[in-house]
Amino acid sequence: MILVYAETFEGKISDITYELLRKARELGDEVWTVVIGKAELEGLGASDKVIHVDDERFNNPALHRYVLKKIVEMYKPKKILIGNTPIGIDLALGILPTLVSCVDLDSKARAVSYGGKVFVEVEFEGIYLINRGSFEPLKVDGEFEVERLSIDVEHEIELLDVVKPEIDVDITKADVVVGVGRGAQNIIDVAEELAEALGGVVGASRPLVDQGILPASRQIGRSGRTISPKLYLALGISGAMEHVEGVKAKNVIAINKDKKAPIFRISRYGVVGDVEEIVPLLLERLR
Amino acid sequence: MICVIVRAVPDLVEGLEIEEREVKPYRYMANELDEYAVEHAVNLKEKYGERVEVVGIANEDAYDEIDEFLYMAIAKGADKAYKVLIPRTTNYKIVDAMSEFLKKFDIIMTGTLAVDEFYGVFGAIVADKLNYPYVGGVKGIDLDGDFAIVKKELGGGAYLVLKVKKPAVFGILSLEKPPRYVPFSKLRSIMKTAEIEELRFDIEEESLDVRFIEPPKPEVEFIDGTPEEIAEKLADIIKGLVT
Repeated sequence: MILVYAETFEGKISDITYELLRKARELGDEVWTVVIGKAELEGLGASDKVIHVDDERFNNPALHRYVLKKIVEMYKPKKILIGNTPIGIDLALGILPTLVSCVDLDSKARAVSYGGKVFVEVEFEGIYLINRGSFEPLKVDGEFEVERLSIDVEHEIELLDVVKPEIDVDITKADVVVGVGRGAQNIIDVAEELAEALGGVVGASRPLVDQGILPASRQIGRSGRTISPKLYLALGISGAMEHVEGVKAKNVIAINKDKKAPIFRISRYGVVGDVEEIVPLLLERLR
Repeated sequence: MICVIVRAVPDLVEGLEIEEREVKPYRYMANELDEYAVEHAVNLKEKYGERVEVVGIANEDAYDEIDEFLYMAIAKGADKAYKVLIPRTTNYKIVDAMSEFLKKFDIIMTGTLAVDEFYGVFGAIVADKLNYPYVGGVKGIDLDGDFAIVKKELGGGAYLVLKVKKPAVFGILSLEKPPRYVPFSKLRSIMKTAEIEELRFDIEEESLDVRFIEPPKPEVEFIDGTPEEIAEKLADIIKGLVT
């Protein structure tokens, strides 16, 4: 049996669950989906069975790993598919072999590692933490069997608060996004002007947000937001998997000093060069 | 008492030699998220007087280089540094061997992931081995008696605030304020006076049946020329794409 962990937050099943269901279905084995906490069981028709631990104590996602552990002990699934998301990564149980950043799975599993510079192929059975966007979603509205399960966990993790940021600019809706990374931290002002000239907004990779140079609302990637503009101009961004996962742009143009930077793998046009030199010249021509 | 695990990982900027059974880095560095864990630990020391011990783990190739990262941790405020030589093995075997040692700490922290960590999440394995709670993706940590209050990132600036009973293991993802600056003179004097204790564990070797593959060449069209020519060509392309 293949077990799919349905990620839920505030009662709603996250979209990545349906991507996992697509792959689980293809593997040819029976597919069970586990939903932990109060949630609307929507679109899970691709599952042969849904196990619902329908208990409001587990609206706290930090407790899901202990519930999952018990379910794994009870039903011993062959493979467990979990989204490689901020919530999902905490479900990497130390008791099972776990592959992080998995992007494909059949008899062997494939993952990306070393900041996107190496693909890894390995054969094992256990947990696969699957990157967003690896498979087309499979959301089916049909009937499915639901087993309600009551489970107790012993660990004390209390959810005190859920804090959401104020959104100054919604980068997810922009037609043009100028992304700045570590390599562009000295030309944020130029990037701002360039974005303005193109009617777009500035987004950022994680390091610039961590350094407080741009607010978290501007962060693109796994722990940020997913953008889908007509044009994404990536300046000084290496393009680690965590970042690239949040880029669903029609066209990507990247400028980076390192010819081997993974960002070029998703780019239509690339420039190997110094953003500090090229971007001001580009701005002059687009203003 | 707090333990921070710091791992020597490939310096990705320096490049990698990719062979089918092995990835050979040209240089090593401290895993950045593990360095963040050191920052959080030292913050707790400053606030509550917690003792902070740092354990560096490195393979043969990085065993000398890790000294510098450990001296840096001491320069930032860690009380004690150890280092552990690891064979060709997996996170699971390392934790098996080290778990008894780790029992003396009531908070164990490391980076949520290391850049070369694809098989097993170190912090999660430690937690399950010791039957402690685990929270990864942590950006903030404070103490309240028998509990730690942590901020766990959800992405896009949202986060959970969790009250976790100690002993516990945390995977660190980010910082709430920029890391401490350590002047080189201070680091140099620490390197002369501080000692790093070598810890020996009976770590079993485990080789994974894994194949490393160089990613395919990208289909990107590279634009060449002088910076002016590049800017000219790019401007034309961009105008074509956005109008």
